Amino acid sequence: MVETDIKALNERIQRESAFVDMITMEMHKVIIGQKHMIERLLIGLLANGHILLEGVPGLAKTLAIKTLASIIEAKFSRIQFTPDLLPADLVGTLVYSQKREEFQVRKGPIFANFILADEINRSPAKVQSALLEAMQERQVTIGDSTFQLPEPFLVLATENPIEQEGTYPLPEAQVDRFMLKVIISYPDKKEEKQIIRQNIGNEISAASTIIKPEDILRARAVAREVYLDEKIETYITDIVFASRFPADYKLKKFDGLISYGASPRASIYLALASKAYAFIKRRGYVIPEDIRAVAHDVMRHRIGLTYEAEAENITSEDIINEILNTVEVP
Amino acid sequence: MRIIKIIGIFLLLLGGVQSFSQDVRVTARLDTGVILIGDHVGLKLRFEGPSGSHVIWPSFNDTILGNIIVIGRSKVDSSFSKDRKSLSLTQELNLTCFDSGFYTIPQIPFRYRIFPDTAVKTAATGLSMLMVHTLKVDTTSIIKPIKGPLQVPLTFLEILPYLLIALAVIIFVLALVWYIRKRKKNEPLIHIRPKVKLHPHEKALQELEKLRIRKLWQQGNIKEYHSELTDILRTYIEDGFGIPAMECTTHEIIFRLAQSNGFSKAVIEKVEQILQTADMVKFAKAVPSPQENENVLSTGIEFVNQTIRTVVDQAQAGSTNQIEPKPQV
Repeated sequence: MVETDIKALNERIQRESAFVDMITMEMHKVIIGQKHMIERLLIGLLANGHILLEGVPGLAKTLAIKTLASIIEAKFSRIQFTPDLLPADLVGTLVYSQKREEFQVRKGPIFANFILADEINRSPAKVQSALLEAMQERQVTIGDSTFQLPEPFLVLATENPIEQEGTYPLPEAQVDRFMLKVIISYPDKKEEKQIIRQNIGNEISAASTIIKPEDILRARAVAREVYLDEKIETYITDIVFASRFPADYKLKKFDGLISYGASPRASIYLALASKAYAFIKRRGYVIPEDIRAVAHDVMRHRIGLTYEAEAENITSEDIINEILNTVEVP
Repeated sequence: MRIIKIIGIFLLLLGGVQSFSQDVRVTARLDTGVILIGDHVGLKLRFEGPSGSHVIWPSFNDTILGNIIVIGRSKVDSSFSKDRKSLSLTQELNLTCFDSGFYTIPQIPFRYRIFPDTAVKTAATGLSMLMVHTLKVDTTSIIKPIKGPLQVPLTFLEILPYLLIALAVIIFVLALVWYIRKRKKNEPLIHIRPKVKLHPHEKALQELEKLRIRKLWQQGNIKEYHSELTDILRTYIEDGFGIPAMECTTHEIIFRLAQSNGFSKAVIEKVEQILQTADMVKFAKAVPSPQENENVLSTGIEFVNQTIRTVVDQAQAGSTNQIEPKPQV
């Protein structure tokens, strides 16, 4: 079989993606299990997309991103979102210097490569907006000056599915800016045992710094070159359209259950995330498996359900499952 | 009779007397001054004036003078002169009378206003004379019986409803006879030719043969060739084994085949080889050699031939239509 430019691209990817295994290995030195979360962190890193993590406390969300930052030799910030947090606490502010007799910029914790916005729904809308605007624009304005945020810039926001009292749920438009919404589940029994052993021993596991931010930027460029055939584009479009017009895709049963379907951002992010996924799998082209692998994480926060759906206990996961099982694979 | 004619000519001269008032002229003219009792006569009313005239047209009851009856009236028709400076309005009344004698149609007043003058003026037509005479009865001849009503010939439109009803009755009677005969013979009312349902393997082999004849890859349509080949095989797997292959990826199809009984490892490897080659062509711009293109088709035919037994077995066991639950992603 003769492969033209894809063969060359595959070889490049083989070279450039070598660090993926190293990162995964280093991550697993510290994090037990959570393979899915680690893989999604890498997708976000390679596709330049932010991630919303949802899981109960104690599932190593903070540890995962902190470890990732240490592996990449990048700056890490953790911001605990609370009801009294102000936008200035996040992006920074102007402070008057008596010595210099002028206002000086004091940059906030957002000026880091990896941000962990812990429990983002505990802060009011103005703080959420400040973060989400920075995520979108990748720059922050303090006073008269505009500052570019460092690259790579990856925000991991967490949401706690329990204790919803006194929270400010993210509006749909804001949630749409997150490339992936990852649901983190509990480790299995075997992993749980390993976690116990690791935490009660004297030896503290630590990840080594193995790559630099420039390597990530270079890998991102290669990941964007991954070939995405027109048939795959059609498959992505069909999946997204099935969430908007279910009746056109033999899913008439979902009529009246979906209040709004996935946005065009879903199509863009499905393409980008599947390219990153193919890169992680050391492939120079996207196959339908890649789309199916990332579809839940890309679409689950982009499908709105009606009251009828909630009354019937139908979740966005059910809808995505049914869409993937109904839309013809190219 | 001669006297009547002379009087008639006199009346005609009198009829249609015109009235002039400044630039306005109104007339009332009878078609004829002498009519037979019960006959119709036209009375033409006319107003002529400047184009800015606003006229209050005279209205009539059903009778004029009690004996002259208005049996029809046209709409008031307006027309302008070529230079659009003068306006002309006309109306025709259709009159009749059932009493003989001389009648004088009175002056008919026309009220009008000429823009921009706001004063309302009146102009009247002249008198018109109408003589209504009877038939002279010849008392010397014998009395004849009264003539019956005249028969008007029938038109096609009048006959049409009866024709349609007759046709419907004939069709209904024929349909009833046809239905009773069918019932007696115990035959179905409509013969629907049963569609020959091919077995999934027959259909697949037929489609594969068609694909071979079309020589797609030989014409450079390699991607189309592999897409159609995999679609045929996926449809075969779906129809034959109840695996929803059209909605599954290569990996999922292989996984499902491996899970179900009746497939040897060699058979599964064959499908895997075809699907993976097709994936490379469809999604990675791969260009297989001519030998590889030939091989995938023959491997596909081999796969179908080797699994006919499984399909037939499953059909006999009645499990062909049992769709397994779709894989959860």
